[in-house]
Amino acid sequence: MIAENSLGDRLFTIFLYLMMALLAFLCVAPFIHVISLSLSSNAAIKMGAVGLWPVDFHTQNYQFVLKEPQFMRSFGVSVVRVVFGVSAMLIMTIMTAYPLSRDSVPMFGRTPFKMIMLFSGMFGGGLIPTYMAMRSLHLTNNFLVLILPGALAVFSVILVMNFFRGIPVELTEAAELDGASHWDILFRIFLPVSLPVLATISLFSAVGHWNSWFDGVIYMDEIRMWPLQSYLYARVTSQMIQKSGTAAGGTAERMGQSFNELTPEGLSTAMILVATIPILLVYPFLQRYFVKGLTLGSVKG
Amino acid sequence: MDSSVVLKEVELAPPAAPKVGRAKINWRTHFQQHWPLYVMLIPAIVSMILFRFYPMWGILFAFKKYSPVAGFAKSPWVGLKNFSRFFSSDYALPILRNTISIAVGKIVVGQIVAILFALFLNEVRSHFFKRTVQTMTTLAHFLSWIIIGGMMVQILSTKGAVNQIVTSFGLEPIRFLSDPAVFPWTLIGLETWKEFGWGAVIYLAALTNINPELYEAAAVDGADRFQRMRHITLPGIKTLIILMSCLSLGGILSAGFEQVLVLYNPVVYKTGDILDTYIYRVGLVGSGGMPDYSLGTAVGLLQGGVGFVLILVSYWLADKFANYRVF
Amino acid sequence: MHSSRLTRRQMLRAGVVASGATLVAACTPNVVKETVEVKQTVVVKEEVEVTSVVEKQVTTVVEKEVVVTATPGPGECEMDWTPTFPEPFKKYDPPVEVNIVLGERYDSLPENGPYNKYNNPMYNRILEHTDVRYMSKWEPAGDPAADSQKLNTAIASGDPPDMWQASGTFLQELIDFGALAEFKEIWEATASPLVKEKKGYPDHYAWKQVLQDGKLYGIPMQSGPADNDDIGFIRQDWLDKVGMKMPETIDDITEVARAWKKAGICEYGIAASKQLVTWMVDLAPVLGAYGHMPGAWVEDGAGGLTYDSLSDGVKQALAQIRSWYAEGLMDPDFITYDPYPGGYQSVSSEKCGIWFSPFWNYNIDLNVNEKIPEFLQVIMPYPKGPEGKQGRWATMSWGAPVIFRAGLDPVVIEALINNLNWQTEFHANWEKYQQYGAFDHDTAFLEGWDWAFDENCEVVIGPYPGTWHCVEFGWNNNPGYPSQQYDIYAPAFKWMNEPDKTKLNKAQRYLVSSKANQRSVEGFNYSYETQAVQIVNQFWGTPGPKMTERLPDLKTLEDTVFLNIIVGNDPIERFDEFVQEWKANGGDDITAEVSAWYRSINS
Repeated sequence: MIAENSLGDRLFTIFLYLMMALLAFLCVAPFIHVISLSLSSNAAIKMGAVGLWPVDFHTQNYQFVLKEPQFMRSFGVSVVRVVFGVSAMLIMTIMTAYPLSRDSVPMFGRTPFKMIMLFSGMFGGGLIPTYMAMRSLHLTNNFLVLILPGALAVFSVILVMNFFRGIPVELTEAAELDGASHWDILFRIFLPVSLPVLATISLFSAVGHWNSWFDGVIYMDEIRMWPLQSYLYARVTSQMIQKSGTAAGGTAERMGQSFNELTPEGLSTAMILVATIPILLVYPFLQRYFVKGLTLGSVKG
Repeated sequence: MDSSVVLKEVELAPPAAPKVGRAKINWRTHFQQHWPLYVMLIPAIVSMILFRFYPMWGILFAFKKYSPVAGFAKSPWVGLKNFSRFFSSDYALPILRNTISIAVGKIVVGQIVAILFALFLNEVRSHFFKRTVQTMTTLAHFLSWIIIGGMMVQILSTKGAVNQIVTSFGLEPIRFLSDPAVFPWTLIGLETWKEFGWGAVIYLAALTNINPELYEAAAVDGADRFQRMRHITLPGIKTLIILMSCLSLGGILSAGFEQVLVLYNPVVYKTGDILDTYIYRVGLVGSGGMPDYSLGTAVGLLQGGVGFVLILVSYWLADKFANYRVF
Repeated sequence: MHSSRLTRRQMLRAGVVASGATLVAACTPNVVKETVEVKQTVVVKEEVEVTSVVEKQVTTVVEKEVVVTATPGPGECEMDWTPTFPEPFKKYDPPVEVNIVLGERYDSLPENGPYNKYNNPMYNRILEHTDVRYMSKWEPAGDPAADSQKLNTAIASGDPPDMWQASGTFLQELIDFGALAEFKEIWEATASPLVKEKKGYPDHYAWKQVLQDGKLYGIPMQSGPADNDDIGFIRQDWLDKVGMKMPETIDDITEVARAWKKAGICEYGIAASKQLVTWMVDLAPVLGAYGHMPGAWVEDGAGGLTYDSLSDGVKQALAQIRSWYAEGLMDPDFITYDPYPGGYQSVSSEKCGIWFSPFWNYNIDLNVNEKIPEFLQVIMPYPKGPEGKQGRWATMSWGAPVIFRAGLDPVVIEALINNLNWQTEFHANWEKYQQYGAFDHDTAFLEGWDWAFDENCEVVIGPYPGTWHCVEFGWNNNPGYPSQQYDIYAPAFKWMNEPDKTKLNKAQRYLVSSKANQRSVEGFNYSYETQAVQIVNQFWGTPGPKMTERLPDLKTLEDTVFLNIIVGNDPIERFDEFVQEWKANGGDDITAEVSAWYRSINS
C-alpha cells in the first residue's frame, strides 16, 4: 500500500502489532491453561499451582483417554456422523437453493415456499412431540436420527441461494441457449464456482454435528451409539467424570500402577482437548478457503 | 448451527437479481421445461413435513395443562391460562428486560469490538501475522459454552486470573459472577471475547475489496493513518455495518442460553435470568418435582412468535437501509 | 435448596473402599426421578429407640493397607470363610425378563475384560438366585436433568420401562391416570415376613404414598434417620496449631475460623456451597443452631403448619453467615460452587477447615493424606446458637418408591418381589452368609477383584475394588429399609471391638483393619446417637395445586434473597420484605393448603 516512514507511524505499527498479539494471546490463554491442567500432576492441580505451563509434566490423562474404549468408539460415531451429516446437508441444501435462486425463471409457489421454510426454521414442536414423531418414524435408537432431521438447514439454504443468485446471469443464459437443462446448469456451471460457499456451509454443518450432544442423549438408547459430545457431556458436566476419575485414580493408586496422577479435572480437560483437535485441524485449512471464497463471491456481484 | 453466524455471512453474497416482469405463463410448457426445479424441492418438502411440521402439533401443549402421564389427549385444555400465568408472575418483566438488555449489549459491544478489531488488523501488513492472529481469535467460536463455562468460572473467581490482575493495581476484586450489577457485563464481555474474532472475519473479507487507489490518493493528500481509516476504510464497510445491525435484530430475544446456564446462580437471577433459562428451568427441569411442560411451551411459543416477526422485520430493514434482499 | 440429595449408597456404589465417599454419581442405572422435593420429607411418627451401635469409644486399629500387584499362585492360600447365599424364594424357568433403565459402568469395566452389562458378577448373581433377567430399555446419561427428560418423554409417548422410581406429584399423577400396576394381592401373598417387618408394612408412613384406598402401587425405598443427615467436621490438626479447643457454639466457630485466618493457616475457614441446605458441604446445622430450618414445614402451634424459612431464627442465622462472609471467613465465590466438586474441594484443597457433611464423608483426610499427611478430620459437635439450640436438617427417610407400569405381567411383579425377599434376607443376615461385600458397596466380594491374598495369605484390597457391579436398580444390592445401615454396621462394630483379632476370619480382619471402615462406623454411630437434634419437615404429602403452581417461583425468590443477603448485595432488612412478598405471592395460600392437609392426617 503506502510507505509509512514517520516516527509516529513506526510507533503506531509497533503498538499495533503488540495490541494484536496481546488480543490473540487473550483468546488462547484459557486454552493454554486447560492444556497445562491436562498435563499437570494431581497435587499441582489441587494446590492451584498450574498457570500457563504444566507442573510436574505427565501424559497419563491422555494415555487413559486414548485407552478408554467408549471414548474412541464415540469418537468414531462422531466422525461417521459428520461425514454423512455434512453430505446429506450439502445435497439437500444445493437441491433446495437452486430452484429458489433462479429468479429469472418464474416458479409456482416460490415465495410461499420460502416463507414456509423460514417459518419451519423458527418454530419447533418441543421435545416431547419431536421425540414421539421420531419414534413413530422408527428413528429412535437409529443412527439416521442424528443425520436426517438436521439435513435441511434453512440458513445454509439462504446463504447458498444468495450465492447462486450472484453468479452472472450471462453464463446461465448462454448455457440455456445451448439447450442446457437445469441439471446441466446446476452441475456444470453453478457447483464448480460455488466451492467456497459450499466449504463454508460444510464447516458450519460439520462443527454443528461435531458439537451437538442433546440428540444423542435423548434418542440413542445405548451409550455405545452416542456421539462424542454426548459422551463428554455425560462425563464432564454430569459428574460422571468425578466418579470415573476418582474410581480410576483410586484403583490405580492401590495397584501402585501407572495411572496415579489421574484427576477428574485432568481427565475431563484431556477429553475435551482430544475432542477439540479435529476442529482445530480442519478450521485453519478451511478458513483460508472460505475467506477467499467470500471475497470472490462479492467481487463477482 | 448458530443462525446468527450464518446470517453474518449472508451479506457477502451479491444483491438480488432484478425482479422479473409478470408475463403470462403457459404452465404446461413451463412444467415440461422446468420440472427439475420442482423435483429438486421434494427432499426439502418431505424433510419439512416429517421433521418440522409433523411434531408441530406440540405447540398445542401451550394451551393445555399437560401431564406426561395423561398424555396429550387426556390433558385438559386451559385456553390462554399458561400465557396469563407467565405474564402475571413477578418474573415476566424482569426476564424480558434482562433478555433484551443482555442481547442488545452483546450485539452492540460485539459489533463495535469486531469492527475495531477488523479495522486495526487490516492495518497489519504481515500476511503471516495477520492470519495467525485471525486463527487464534476465532478459535473460541468453535467451542461450546459447556466446555468454556467451567473454565471461566475459575478464571473470573475472586482469586482468579482476572482478579489477580485487578488487585495488582490496588483495586477491589470484581465479583463478576456474584454482583447483579456486574453480571450482565460479564456475559456481554465473555460473549464478545468468544465471538469478536469470528465477527471480524466478515468485515475483514469486505475490507479487502476496498480499492487501494483510494488509500494512495488520500496519502498524497496528506491524510494520516487514522484519517484514512476513518474516511476510507470505515465508509467502505458502512453498508455492511448497517446490514449486520439490521439482521442482528432477529436475535434480540435470544440472549445466549448455554452461556447463561453455565454461569448464573441465584444471586444474579435478578439481572441474569433470561427467557431461555426460564423456559429451561420451568419447562424441562422443573423446580422440585415435575417440569411444567405447558408453561415452558407457552413461553417458548411467545419467544418463537416474536422472534419470527423480528426476523421478518430485520429482513425488511436490511432491504430498506442496506439495499440487501435476503430472500 | 434441598434438591439433588444423594444417598450414601449411591455415593458408595461408585466408590472404592477409601475414596468411595468422594464420588457422586451412582452406578449409572436408576437416577430416575431422583430429585427430592422440598415438601416431601420425613415425619418421624413413632418413637425411635436410640440404640447405639457403638457403646463405647471406638478404639481403632490402624493397619497400613498393603498394595499388592501379584497374588500368590492358586492353592497357596486358603479362604477361611465360606460365602453362601439364601435359598431362592421361588424358581422361574425360564427366567423373567424386566426392562429397566440399565447402564454399564463402561468407564470402570476392566479393559477388554469379559464383562459387560449383561455379564458381570452382580448381574449373574441376581439371575442365578432370583431368576430375574434385567434388560436394558435404554442407558442413562448419569445426568439427572437429561435422564428425567428422557424418562418423561418415554412415559409421555406411552413407552415406559417395566419398573422405575417416582415420587411426589409425578407419582400421584401416575396413580391417578392408571399408569401403574396395582399389586396388593401379589405383595401380600409373596413378600416375606422379614421384608414386611423391615419395611414396616403397612404402618410405616412411607407406605402412605403408595397405599391408597386399599390398593398398592409401589414399594417405598426407605433409609434410616442417620444415613444422610449432616454432621459437623473440623480439622483437628489446625485446632492444635492455634491451641484452641473444640468449638461448641456458633461464636466458638467464629473464633476458631478467625484464629486460623489470622495465623495464615487457611484462606477462609468455613466451607459452604451455593445450596444452604443440601446433601454435602452445606450450612444446615448453622441454621439449626437458631432452631429453624429453611425449607421445612413445622407446627405453628395451632394445629397447622408454617414455613420455617420465614422464621426470625432464619433471619438471625443469615445475619450470622453474612457476618462470616463479610469478614472473609467464607469463600467469596462459594455461591458459584456446587456441593460437589466445588464445596468438597474447598476442604480438600485446604481452603476451609470446618464443614458439614453426612457421616460417609468422614474420610476426606484419608483421601488426601498421601499428599497432605497432617490433615486430620474429626467430628465437631453440633454448634449451639445463642439460645443453646442445636439442629440439623432431617433428610428424607423414604426415597422415591419403586413402581411398575400398568399391564406388566403379574408373574414378573411376583418374581421381583421374590427378588426383594432374597435381597433383604441377604443383607439383613450378611454375617451369616459371610458375604462381606455387603459392608462397603452392597456387592459381591470376589477374589482377584475386590480383594486378593498378599504374600502372608492375608486378605488385602484387590486390583478392581468397587468396580463392575453394574446392576443397580431399586432394591438390587440395596433393599432399602430403615434399619439397613444399622444391620450392616452392627456386626462390623462387633469385630472391631474384638480384642483377639485371630478369632476373626481373614475377610473380617480385612474389613475392620480399614481406617475408612472404622470411620464409617464411628460416623454413623454419631449421626445415629444425635438424631434428637433433627428438625423434621412435617409435610410429606403430595403437593396441592397452590403449591405446585406457586412454590417454584417462591423457591427462586427465597434462594435469591437468602444468598443476596449473605453476600451483602441486599441489607438484612430485605428478609422482612421477603416474608411479606412470600406471603402475598401465594405463600399464604400454600400455608393454608398445607395446614389443611396436616389437620386432615392428624384427625
